[in-house]
Amino acid sequence: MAYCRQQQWPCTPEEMYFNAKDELITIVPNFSVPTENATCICISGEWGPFQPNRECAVPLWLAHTLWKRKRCSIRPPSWMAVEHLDAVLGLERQDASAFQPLPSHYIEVAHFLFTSGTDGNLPQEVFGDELSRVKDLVELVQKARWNKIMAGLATLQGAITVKLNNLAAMEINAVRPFFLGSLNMFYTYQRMEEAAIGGGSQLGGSLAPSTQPLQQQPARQLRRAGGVR
Amino acid sequence: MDTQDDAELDYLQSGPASTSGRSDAEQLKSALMNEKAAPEILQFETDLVNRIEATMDYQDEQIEMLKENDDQKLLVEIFMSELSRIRYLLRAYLRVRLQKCERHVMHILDNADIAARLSEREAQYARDFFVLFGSHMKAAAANHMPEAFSSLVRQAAAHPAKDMVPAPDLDRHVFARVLEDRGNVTVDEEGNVAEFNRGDLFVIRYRAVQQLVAEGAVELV
Repeated sequence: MAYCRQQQWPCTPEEMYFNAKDELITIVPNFSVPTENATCICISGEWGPFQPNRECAVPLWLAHTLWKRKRCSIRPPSWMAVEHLDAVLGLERQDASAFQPLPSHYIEVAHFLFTSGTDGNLPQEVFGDELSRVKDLVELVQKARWNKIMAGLATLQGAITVKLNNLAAMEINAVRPFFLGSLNMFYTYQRMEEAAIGGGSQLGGSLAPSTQPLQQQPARQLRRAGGVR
Repeated sequence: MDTQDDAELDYLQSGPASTSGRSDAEQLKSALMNEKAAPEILQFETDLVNRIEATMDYQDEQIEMLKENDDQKLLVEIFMSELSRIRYLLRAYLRVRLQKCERHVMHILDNADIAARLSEREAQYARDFFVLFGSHMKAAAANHMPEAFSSLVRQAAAHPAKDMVPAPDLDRHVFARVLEDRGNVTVDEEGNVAEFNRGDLFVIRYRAVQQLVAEGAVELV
């Protein structure tokens, strides 16, 4: 069972959240760190400088850790401003073939900001009065993009190379099994057709059955591990 | 180690221009995503893994030193949570590679250039696994079949080729993001080309981008 799952979902949603926690977000700390430059040197980078009431950019996991200990306040990211989301929504609805540029983990970041910190009311702190408006807008943007993806999937006809820029990580993960699976099947059918056409023309050309040496074809065509292994 | 400024407006450029500008943690995450999405096993990142292990040991020492100092609790917590994240990434990377080793063990051991992509310990693991797996299969099934059909790698003893070896399917489709401009690239046997510009996201057969992934010009998502 673990194998099957691995094939379908290389990344579980929990793992997507884990990756999304590396996205940067602005915080205002209320502490300072007694190191040179007031920064914190971690394996993934030098974060800071941490000085009281001065903004700095840190990854989301760090912001969450600090917020839980009441050492900082979190600012909403610039792409989550109402005007910006309005503009993006308008463009998404207008342009039926392309996706608007959004941070690749926008769904996870938005979800985190709206739902975590249940005991400290993180969403209210971060967004203030605009909370419900921002929530609605993010949901509408998500729906518009999802409809576009569905429409695009419906037009799939063969094993082709598809270019889709600006697709978010969560959206990729959601369509991954269906999208890749159907393209794989299309490709398999295409190859079977080509093999059938190739075999047919051989038989038509000579009266005797084609004497292919045993080495060239296995006696039984084994079912290759497309979806199972 | 990079300092990130103006991060708010930088989300459009969230990917770095080239691999040399990335921190070790980002490179490890990228290597992990590549391994998860690719059907075959990729080159083991020996340097990266060694550096990460060394940094993790150093960080451990830092934590031990800071723990004695009571007013540095916050730093200790930050370091510890980050360490557990990096440890998870490293473990996941090694686990995915071992899974691929197990799935295609005969194929890997048969091809010297694929076997060269494994680290020493993985190669040893593959050899041991093959011995155990082979002897189990023989004892459970193959030895009970007629002599001519009891091979684990051939359908019948008369076939000269090893046609029962499970090999990775390189024609599976994958999501690929382009990291460097590469101009026009051939994407299938008919000679169709697509233009690879930085930041493009393609759904494409793995075989078409295999070389580019090995070079680091394309990453799998």
